[in-house]
Amino acid sequence: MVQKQILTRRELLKSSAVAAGTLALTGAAVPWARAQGSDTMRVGVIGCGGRGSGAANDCVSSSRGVEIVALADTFEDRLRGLKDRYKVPNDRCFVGIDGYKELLALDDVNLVILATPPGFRPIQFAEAINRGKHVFMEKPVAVCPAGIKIVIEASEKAAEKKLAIVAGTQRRHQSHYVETMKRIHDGAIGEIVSAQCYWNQGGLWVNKRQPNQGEVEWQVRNWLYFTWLSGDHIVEQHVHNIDVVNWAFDALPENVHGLGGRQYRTGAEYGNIFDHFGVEFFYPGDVRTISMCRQIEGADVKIEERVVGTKGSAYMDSRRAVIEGENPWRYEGPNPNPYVQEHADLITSIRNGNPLNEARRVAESTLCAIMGRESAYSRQQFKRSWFMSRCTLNLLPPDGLKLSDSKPVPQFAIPGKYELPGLAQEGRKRRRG
Amino acid sequence: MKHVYLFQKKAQRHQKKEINNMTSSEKDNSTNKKVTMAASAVAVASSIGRVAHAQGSGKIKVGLLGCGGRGNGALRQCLQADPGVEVIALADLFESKVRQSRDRIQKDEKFKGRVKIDDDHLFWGFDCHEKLAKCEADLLCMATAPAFRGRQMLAAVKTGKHIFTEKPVATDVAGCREVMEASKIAKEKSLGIVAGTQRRHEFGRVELMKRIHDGQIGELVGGQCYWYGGGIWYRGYTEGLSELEWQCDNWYHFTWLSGDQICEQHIHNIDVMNWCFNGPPVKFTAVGGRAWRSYNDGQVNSAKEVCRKYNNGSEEGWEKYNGDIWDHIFAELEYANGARCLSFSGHSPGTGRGDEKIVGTKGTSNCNNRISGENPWTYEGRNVDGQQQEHIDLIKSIRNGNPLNEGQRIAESTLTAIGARIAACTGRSFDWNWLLNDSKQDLVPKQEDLKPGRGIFHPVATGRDNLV
Repeated sequence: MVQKQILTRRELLKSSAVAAGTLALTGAAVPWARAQGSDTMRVGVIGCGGRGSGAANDCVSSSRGVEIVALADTFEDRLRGLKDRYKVPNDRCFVGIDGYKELLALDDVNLVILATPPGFRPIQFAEAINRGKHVFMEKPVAVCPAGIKIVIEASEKAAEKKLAIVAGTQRRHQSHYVETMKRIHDGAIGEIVSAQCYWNQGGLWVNKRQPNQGEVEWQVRNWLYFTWLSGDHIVEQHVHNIDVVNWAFDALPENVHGLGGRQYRTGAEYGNIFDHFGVEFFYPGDVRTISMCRQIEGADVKIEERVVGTKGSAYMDSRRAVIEGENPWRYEGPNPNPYVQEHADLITSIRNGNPLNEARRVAESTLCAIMGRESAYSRQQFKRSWFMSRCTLNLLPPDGLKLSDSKPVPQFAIPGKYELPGLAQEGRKRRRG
Repeated sequence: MKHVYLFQKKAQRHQKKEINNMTSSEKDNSTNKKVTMAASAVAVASSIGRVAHAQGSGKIKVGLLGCGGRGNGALRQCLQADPGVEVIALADLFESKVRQSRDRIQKDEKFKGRVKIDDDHLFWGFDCHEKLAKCEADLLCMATAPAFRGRQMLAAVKTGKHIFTEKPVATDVAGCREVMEASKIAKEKSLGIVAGTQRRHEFGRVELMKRIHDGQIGELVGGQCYWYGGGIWYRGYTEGLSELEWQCDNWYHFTWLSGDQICEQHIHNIDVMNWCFNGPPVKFTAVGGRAWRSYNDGQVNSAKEVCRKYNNGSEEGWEKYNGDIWDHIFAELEYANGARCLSFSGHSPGTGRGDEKIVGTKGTSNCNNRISGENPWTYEGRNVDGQQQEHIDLIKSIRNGNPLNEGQRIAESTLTAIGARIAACTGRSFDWNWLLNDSKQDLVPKQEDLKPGRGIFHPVATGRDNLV
């Protein structure tokens, strides 16, 4: 066992979480005062693993009048924890890859938490919107451009239906980030000319293949390590930091060039993802930024963002926010647990009748991370507009996927051999011309 | 994709030009002759007689160390730089290369009467630099694989030679320290050292840097530098070479010999960043790896063949013959004022770029000939070939009695590239002072251990190597 350390994002923020929970509760109690019994949030949880369970608990503790009433998971054993904790009856627990459909068919469920592996998110999200549910969904929200398109389309439908959507990019709900961004957008650091963001960490949990385990079952249980399920770690984790930089610019990169590889974590149990990426994003006006992420056991940890302007710079990590330069400032206010706050903000927005809809925004940040990955896999630079209009990459799970299906793990990407659908073809066309 | 593809083609052309300059003597021959001769005539007229080594004759006797493509190119550029230059000695690991180089340069009409290489001034073997340092040359041009540059430069300054050295000047931290020491000795003895980071000698860039240092783009707060290309040669088995000699012939593929691509090529661009900031970075953070080279079918087949030749037909352990260098490093260089700059380097098929950008609070520059922002400016003066000009500047400075000494600076830029490589190979961040003073990295075998025989192979770095 090389990978021993289990580092979840909850642990990274552990220290602030306990103290902050109560603050969030008081904050959320105000709108609740206006709400009636009919405002009860009847929550269905789709994906009851570590993150789904955490989100369910955070949701319940965020606001009054929240009940966990239905559960769905591919695996019975993953579902059991929430079932016991919230005493969810058997007939409202749905096991299997398609269990989410049955849960979404329940009329009394008005809010769903989507926390299955990200590869499933687009189809589950679209179905949730079809069924008229409010949604809290974990990041990332897709692993390929085809999935991004589904999410954006569904988010437009959600807006028409006045459904609320909040995504688990919790920095958007974290006080010191929100306050820093206000200042950046007010010009405290001048015009942005440079930025850097990082998610360099050690290793994560790994589930080795068990005897008699079907290929799909093993991959879903070990989902972090397969691009079609997790999107690779640049998408699965580093999307947080890329989202912060997008937020600071209030714009998306136009162009991307990345590299990466699989240098340390090379065993079969690590599927086909990379263990490091370095990506340059080009924002409007040729402002170039550094994005770096790594999952290598024992390597240095660095998870932060820095935005540099003509008048100063802003530094942010999970605990601190500091502006240096012409307008020095340091966040010293309260720091409520953002994992609770994001649910409080979601439920408040529903009860206020002004539903938050973060779907497009999180889809776009997810898209940037996917672009970084594909640029690194292919070692080619490309434009976002090209990626969205011409790249035909589609990693969506096939209809009727079964746990016992044979789904061989694709070869990890080798630059020069990896073909990004659409790119290679255009290159050939070009050469002929 | 049109724009991307065109851009790549353009970048590849640029790249190709540079690579050609480094490997083809023919290209070097045709460079900027007019400029050269005019400038050198002035230099000769104004400074004959002041150079101790050149004495009354005004001749500068030159020896070449490293008779490959770049060495032969540098030698011609040195000859073109000043009519008083004469070639008197050649040295290389291989006898065949020394003899071949002499044959070629003797036949070159352009240098008629200036090539005076006696048989006893042809040196070869792992200790050829020691023999060369003992001959009566005034100036040595050094262009072997960079691993040995420290000891070569120390030997040269101890016997009072001026030095032109190709970049990089080391492959490990210990080697950089040797060059710094050689640079100090050179200073004490008033010896010149110029390094083959030719951008420092291009007139446009020199003018540009004056403006950047004068604050025309404000405080420097960011920057990017790039060198990535399609790949490099791999030299397969050659009859008659011992394994270590084969490895030295195929030096690029071994980190202890080349320093890896970030050190061997990308140092040019890293040096420009250091130039902008007037010094090396204070902190390194990097990722990188070998994602493609191990799967390059042509190279894999060659490596297997080499393996069979040295192992009685067995292919077991062929991987080590495929080299240990990586194919990409993505590094953040943090400079003293807190600016974090990107260094982006690597090889993979169908890619190419080699340039820089510097970002200030009042504007940006392409680090070549242009400033955009509050104080826009474009260089409109004369352009010179930096690879020629660096020799002109060195010889001029020797004749003037104020020899240029770029030893410390090129050692710092080499160490910058090595620092970024170490950060990527270890997954650790560290600062400049630790690297310079405390790192114990020493990859190159001692001189007495270098003999024709078994190769010296290291495993491919994991991204989690121990930081030493």
